[in-house]
Amino acid sequence: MNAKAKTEIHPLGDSALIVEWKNVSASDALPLVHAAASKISASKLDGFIEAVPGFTSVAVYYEPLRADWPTMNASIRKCLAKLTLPKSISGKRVEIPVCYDPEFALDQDRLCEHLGLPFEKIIQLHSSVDYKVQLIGFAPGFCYLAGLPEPLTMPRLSFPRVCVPAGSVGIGHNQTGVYPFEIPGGWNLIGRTPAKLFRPELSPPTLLSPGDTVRFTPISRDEFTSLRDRR
Amino acid sequence: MSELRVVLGGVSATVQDLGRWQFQKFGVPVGGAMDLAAHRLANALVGNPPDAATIEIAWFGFGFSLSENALVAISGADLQPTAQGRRIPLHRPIWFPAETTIRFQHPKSGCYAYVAIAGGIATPPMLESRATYSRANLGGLDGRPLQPSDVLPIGHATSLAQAIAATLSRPANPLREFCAANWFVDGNEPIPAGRTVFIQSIRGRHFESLDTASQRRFWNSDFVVAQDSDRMGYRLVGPELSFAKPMQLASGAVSRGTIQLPPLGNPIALMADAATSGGYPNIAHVATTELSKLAQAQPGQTIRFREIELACAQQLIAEQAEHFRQVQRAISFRVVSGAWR
Repeated sequence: MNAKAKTEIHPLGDSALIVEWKNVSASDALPLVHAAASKISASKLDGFIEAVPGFTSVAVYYEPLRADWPTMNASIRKCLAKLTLPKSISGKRVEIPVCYDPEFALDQDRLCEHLGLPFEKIIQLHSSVDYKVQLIGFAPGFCYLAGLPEPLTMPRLSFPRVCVPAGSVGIGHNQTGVYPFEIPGGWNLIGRTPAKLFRPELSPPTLLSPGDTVRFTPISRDEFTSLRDRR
Repeated sequence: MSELRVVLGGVSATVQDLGRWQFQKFGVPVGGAMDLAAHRLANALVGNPPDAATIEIAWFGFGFSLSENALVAISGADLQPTAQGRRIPLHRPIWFPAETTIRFQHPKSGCYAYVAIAGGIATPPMLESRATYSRANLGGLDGRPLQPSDVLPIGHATSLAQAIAATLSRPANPLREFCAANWFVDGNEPIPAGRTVFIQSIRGRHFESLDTASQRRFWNSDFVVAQDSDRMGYRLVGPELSFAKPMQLASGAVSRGTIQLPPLGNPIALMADAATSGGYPNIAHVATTELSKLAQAQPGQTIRFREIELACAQQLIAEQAEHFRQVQRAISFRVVSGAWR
């Protein structure tokens, strides 16, 4: 393990705990978090329910009837004592079609004004790089993608939208991502995808997994309609 | 197959169970019954396992009928259910003849009532659970609250359920009246709306980052459950709470019971359908055994937090489990000994 990464374990209520790493860079965190979550899940610890990866942490849900906090804390510590890390985690490559039409780019004006760029340039920057899926979380299938070009860094909305339309692609600080459903959210909306990111009838239920590489492909309004109707 | 037919939609009635575990890594909330204790009790009273699906009725207005004779129990909030012109008693098994219509009114106490039917609601599970999560159209019937003319399949009753039903469905019942057991399981009643609800809670990760006055205020002040509270979270209106220094956190894991404090606002107690992660500081966690009481607190009701240690909260979980085992034993004993009616 990264010599500087310090493991801390804290209770999260009376039926969960959180394992956190301090002094770990974003790129080191992904393999570390996933190696730890897999090891914990595979260890069949008494009372263990579920391990849930975060950016630099793993939440562990457990049954206190089977193992109380001191017991679980000790078992997790022991389980993670000799953690072998992959250099990086490699995933699949996924192209996500995005329609950047003004009808969907609800924050176009805000983005152009704040970033000082014409919208064509913003689209070109957003769709010309590979992103890495860091985390699936917050809502079913919601993905946090790292690798946003520096000139697109943009603070979140001061007042989150009560209702972000399904498929919206947004920018929140230095991350980008896709809202799979109509939910409240505070990211700047730049376009919309007809792709389905959450499909509970399949296994896994999400199109993307942490470690996957994503590229956004611009599509026209007509292509958006035909792709959406076809799915 | 036996069926349940919805005749009245109400505010929001959904199929619920113990929740959808193992899918939080895909961003799927655990969900499940808001008042898990009431859900478990209703199931136990009709001989169902705890994970059988029940109908959770929020607030008022739901109504249904059953295609066959059925054993039913209602627990949780008192939504003043009636059938055949009579009030239906809570927290006990009841035999209903086929085609009886059961209706619910406004809550006398609490917010969420649970209807368990012997055999359980047998809608197809999605991601290993029948719990309805409407935002993502998961579980229940088409992933949405129930509507008039919906039809729900009911599963096969256990032998315990059949034994309980046999003791209640008297042969000499020409008017086919519903028939309730003459005993009930005590406890679990929601606290009446006018009274303060005390909620035992443990300190959260960021409690000590509150300034000292706010730390004191949190445990010593009244909070009122806000109107816009729902299955995702209860917003609690109370005294101003602030951090000694401004807090900037990366988004982190949260769970049912986590009390978050947004920068400009009131604490929010996360409930069954809470998102799997949140970016606000966690100032406290409601003890698991107190979540039912909090779920049943009505908007406008006053609550107060009482601090307990983590070890104590886990001890309470053990005690609640032991109490529930005793209830299950008592229910099967009543059948074995024939001590009914």
